[in-house]
Amino acid sequence: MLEIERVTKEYRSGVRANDEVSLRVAAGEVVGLLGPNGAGKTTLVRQIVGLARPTSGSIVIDGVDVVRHPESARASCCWQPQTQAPIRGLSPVQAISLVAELRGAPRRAARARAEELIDALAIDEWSKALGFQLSGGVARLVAFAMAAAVPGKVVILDEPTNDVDPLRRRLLWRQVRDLAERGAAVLLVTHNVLEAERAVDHLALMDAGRVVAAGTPGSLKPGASAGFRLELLVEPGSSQGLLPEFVRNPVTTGRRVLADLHDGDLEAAVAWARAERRQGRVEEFSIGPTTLEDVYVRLVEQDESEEVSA
Amino acid sequence: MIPTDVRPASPARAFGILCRWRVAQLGKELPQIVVAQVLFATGTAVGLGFLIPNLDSRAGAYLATGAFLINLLIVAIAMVPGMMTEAKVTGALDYLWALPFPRLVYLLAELAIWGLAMLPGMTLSLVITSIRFDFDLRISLLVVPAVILVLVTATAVGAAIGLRSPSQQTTNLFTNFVLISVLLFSPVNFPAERLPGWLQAVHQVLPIASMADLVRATLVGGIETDVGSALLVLAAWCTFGMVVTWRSVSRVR
Repeated sequence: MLEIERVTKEYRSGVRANDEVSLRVAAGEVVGLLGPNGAGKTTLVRQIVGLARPTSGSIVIDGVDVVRHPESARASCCWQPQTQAPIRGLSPVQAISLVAELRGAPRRAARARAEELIDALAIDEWSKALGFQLSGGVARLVAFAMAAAVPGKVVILDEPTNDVDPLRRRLLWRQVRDLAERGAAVLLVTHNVLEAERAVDHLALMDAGRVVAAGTPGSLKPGASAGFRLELLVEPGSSQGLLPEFVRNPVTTGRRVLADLHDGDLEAAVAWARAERRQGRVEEFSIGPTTLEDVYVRLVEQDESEEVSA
Repeated sequence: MIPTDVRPASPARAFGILCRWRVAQLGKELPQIVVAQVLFATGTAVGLGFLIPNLDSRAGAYLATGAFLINLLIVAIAMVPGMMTEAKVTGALDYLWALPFPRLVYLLAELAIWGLAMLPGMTLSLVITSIRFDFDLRISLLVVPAVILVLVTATAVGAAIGLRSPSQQTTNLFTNFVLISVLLFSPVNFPAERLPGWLQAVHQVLPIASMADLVRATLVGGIETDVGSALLVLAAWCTFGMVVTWRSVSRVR
């Protein structure tokens, strides 16, 4: 449904925000686009919805080249931006149904859909409150509902769960799945790795303008079935001795050390970490199965160290 | 259940929906704007009347029509640019531009709403001041196209300023400068002959004097104006404002 092929966006300042990015989202699928701040995720989204034009590469939605026909992108893409939607002075019901009407729903159906979404996201309490009276999280849910009101072929959600409480996040994820079940291709931009892992079918990880990894959440975790991770919180000021050999690929961020462990080394690792803690070199440690966040941190860190050495 | 393949609203329907969107957003502010306009227009005309002793009905007519125009300019040159800059800076414009309607429809909806918000206050203030200063309102039918031309020109220039300005502060600075210039240094409340020669020359190129001429010529009889050249100047500014506005809204970065 959405096919992004080697999209490069270079600003006049020479900054390359996207570097040969390729990405596909099929109808009925939720694809997560992950990456740290400044990775180029939002820039990519702005090109899909026609607010920016790629320097090179192509973006095709349902067979139509939307770089050449941005009006077609606007008709087929629903977008929840990273910033708040302009709902000041509007109630959630008004905001959602006005967008639904602009997208072609008859007035009554638009209102019914607005009420359905408000109900599904459990924000009925505020359904008549005006935009400026809404908390950040509720405003975010309203912006989501505006994008989901009449889902087009492609729905793009940029950080939809920011500021949303944990209970309503679950409701939100259910609605995201619902959009895919209705046949929309959903592109979900986030830096919330743990949540994304559970909500998406495929993932693309972006860093410094490039897609550095892509696949299903499971396939991105190398040896996921046997892999474990060791996390250490080093005592401030203590000089960390040499890590034992079974602590693999350590990445240090401040006081935090993240490393891989093999299945067979678990017991040795626990013994070693307990000894380190007794001697006051390690404040806390934890061992658990490898998560997507570990993969994410590793890929991003790796990239940064490459850049430093380059 | 809404099917996923509905076609977006037609431009005409989108115009109606956007008008409802903006009216709902401005909600309580709209009546306040109308009231403020009546008070401001009547107030400036009557207040300036205190400044000038022995006001004859001709000078009164200048003040009244001047206030009518200033009222329009306060919205078009001060409020519209401020809102445009805000919409641009906060990302509201990007949001709207990603919705499926032509951008021109949005501009027309804004124009329609601001035009309708301005007219009652302006008209009422004109009636009040005509009684206060005892001059004859001789309203010609041409007042409709004349006011529309003034309105479109001022709003287009205002929108262009707001869209090109990098920040709200810059916009405020600029609009305050324009308003003071209009109030005190433009032949709006008084005849152009009172200004120094060089300033008269400047006003032959700027749109404000022409706007004032056109408004006076169609609202009050007996004040001579060169309507032809006023129309030419305004047509040029109108085109300029619309082109800059259009280029700003249709730009893709």
